[in-house]
Amino acid sequence: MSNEKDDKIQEGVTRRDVLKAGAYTAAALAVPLVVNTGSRVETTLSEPVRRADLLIIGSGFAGTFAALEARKQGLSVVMVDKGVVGWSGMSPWASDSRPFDPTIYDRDEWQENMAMNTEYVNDRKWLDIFMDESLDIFHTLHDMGAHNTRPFERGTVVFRRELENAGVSIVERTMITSLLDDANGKICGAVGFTYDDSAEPSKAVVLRADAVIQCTGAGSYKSPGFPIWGQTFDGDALAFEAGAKIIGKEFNDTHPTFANAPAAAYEGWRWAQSVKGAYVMVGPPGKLDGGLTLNNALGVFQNGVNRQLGGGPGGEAPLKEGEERPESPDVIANRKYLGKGYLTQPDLILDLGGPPEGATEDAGFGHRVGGATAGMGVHKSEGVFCSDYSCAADGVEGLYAAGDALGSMLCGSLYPGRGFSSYGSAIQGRIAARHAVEYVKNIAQRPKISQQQIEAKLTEMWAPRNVEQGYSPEWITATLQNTMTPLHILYIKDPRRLDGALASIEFLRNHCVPKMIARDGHELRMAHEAKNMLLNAEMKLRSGLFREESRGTHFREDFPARNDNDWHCWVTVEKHNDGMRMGKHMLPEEWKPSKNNSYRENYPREFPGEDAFLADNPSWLV
Amino acid sequence: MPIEKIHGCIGCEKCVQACPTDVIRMDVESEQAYIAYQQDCQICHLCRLSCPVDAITLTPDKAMLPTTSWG
Repeated sequence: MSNEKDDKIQEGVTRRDVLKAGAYTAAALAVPLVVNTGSRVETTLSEPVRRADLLIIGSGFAGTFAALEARKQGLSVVMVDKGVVGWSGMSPWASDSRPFDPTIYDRDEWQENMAMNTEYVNDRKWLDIFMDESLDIFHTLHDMGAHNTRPFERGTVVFRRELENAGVSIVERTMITSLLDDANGKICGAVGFTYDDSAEPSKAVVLRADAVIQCTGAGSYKSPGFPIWGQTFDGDALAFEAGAKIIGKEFNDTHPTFANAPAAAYEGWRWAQSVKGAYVMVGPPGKLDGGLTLNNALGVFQNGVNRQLGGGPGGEAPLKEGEERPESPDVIANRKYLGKGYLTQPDLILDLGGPPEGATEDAGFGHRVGGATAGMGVHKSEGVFCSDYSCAADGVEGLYAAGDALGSMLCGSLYPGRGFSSYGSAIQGRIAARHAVEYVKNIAQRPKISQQQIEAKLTEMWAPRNVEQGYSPEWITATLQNTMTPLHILYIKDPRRLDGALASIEFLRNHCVPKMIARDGHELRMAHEAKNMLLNAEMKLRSGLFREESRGTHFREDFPARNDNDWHCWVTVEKHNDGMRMGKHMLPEEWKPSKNNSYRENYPREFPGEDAFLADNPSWLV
Repeated sequence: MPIEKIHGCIGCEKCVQACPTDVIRMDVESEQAYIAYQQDCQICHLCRLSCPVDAITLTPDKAMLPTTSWG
């Protein structure tokens, strides 16, 4: 798996370059209360307006499959992306797939393994839907020609062509800042702005539609270490402000980077961009192995948090010289599927579940350490809450979400191994579109948006351009990173530390955000991204405080055990007055772990201090 | 720092389109891509992978940004 273009990274950076770059950054950050030298009065109301039956925000796997489905069913579609269609969000990185073939796999085994690995708070019906539809997604991608491309080419070569051929209207390099609704609160559009002001000033963009599907992906705090940096929880912020419930914020992704070069996460993914073909994970998700467990984040801090080391990316101790990594039991077990079902197709690259290729010790990057994504949630398990599998946001008419923007809980409290994310997004994109099409076709009257609302949202959107002196979005982002990124905030939680971080985040939101400055279009984008990241940080801290137990990637030092009586649920957060209201969505009794097994049989991974805590709190085991 | 230089640009704009953090812009006069916001580069390599003439050089080094009391 070599890539002829992957050669330049070995060229080193000089000490002078580092100093030069450091000076540049320090100058941007160190000036107290920065004067907005680019301040300008922005009140553009002659904005370009586009109208379609359906507005789709985001153009990755979810957005592409949503748009194609909606066009197939006759709706006009306008698609808007913060970047460019084909390069959207995380989709250029998606390499693996794990289609379910009913002729070779056992549904119950997939359900049981997924439930144990993700600690019984995964949505089993979404997994059923995944198992029903994933092979069709595989064949659809195959027919499109997606399997003849490398991951970073797939969107530009295949998705873009499909969208253009289908007649999807495309708006690019436009950041959406607010959803629009009608007098009855039905979502029917969005406003945003073009940030590339190289050739002409930023413009307001108003998009009107009968319904909106958010395919906005996930988010992170932009810390160096993982290629997710265009994503800043924009969808969660849009939906939250519109009244939707957001779930899954207490759980964390734990993708790794390298100890000696934390910003070099790409080196762990270089292999993925060299794969041309259908990269298929063989076998069911592991019961314990293969997932992005808490151990991946904590390995550097305290070895042995989990009894089972996670396979797959991240966290493992470096191999000693001459040592070979032993094959995992899953790899051995998955051999039996080879040569069966769709796996007999000749053009597949098969992966039995071992750790992927990555940079080696001698590349100078050090061993892998987890927690690189700093704030990202679990794929498919963080985002807009929908309780009825329609992808419609609970309580907000006209708003749908799919992919990482939807809190479907397909993957529960931790990502259970590779192969679920991109196909999960594609499946949910199609489902969201089917329901949105139905909704739009049954609308009695086209929703009307008041000009007053548009003006108010545009005024709010331009605000950082008009502030003459205040806080730079760089400083707010750096302070946010320093508050939220350390491992003792999101990975090893304690209520005092969560409260402390919350107080800092609240101060930033209440006092600094209203005074953010933006000297140009780029900084205006950064200002809105910082605002979205802060809102998400508050949701994450409040959700972490609310769930008074430990589970999966949520570890509370004061409650270091699972409590199926009180916390076999999803935690929701929604806007309430000017604050946040937390809630529990209890899960079906039959999703709980078997009462015939011991606690440790159901939960083989052990949190630090768990056994002693349970000895003191026997009611948790009843 | 991450994206270090663009040398030999043919003005196709692919790197501008590929960058998820708006680091690269087109120079209106020269019609070539230039590094406009280097500090926001997250070393994702999409610009380099998309460049048809291999004009972009990246390094894997970037320290966590420093923070200050006021800004």
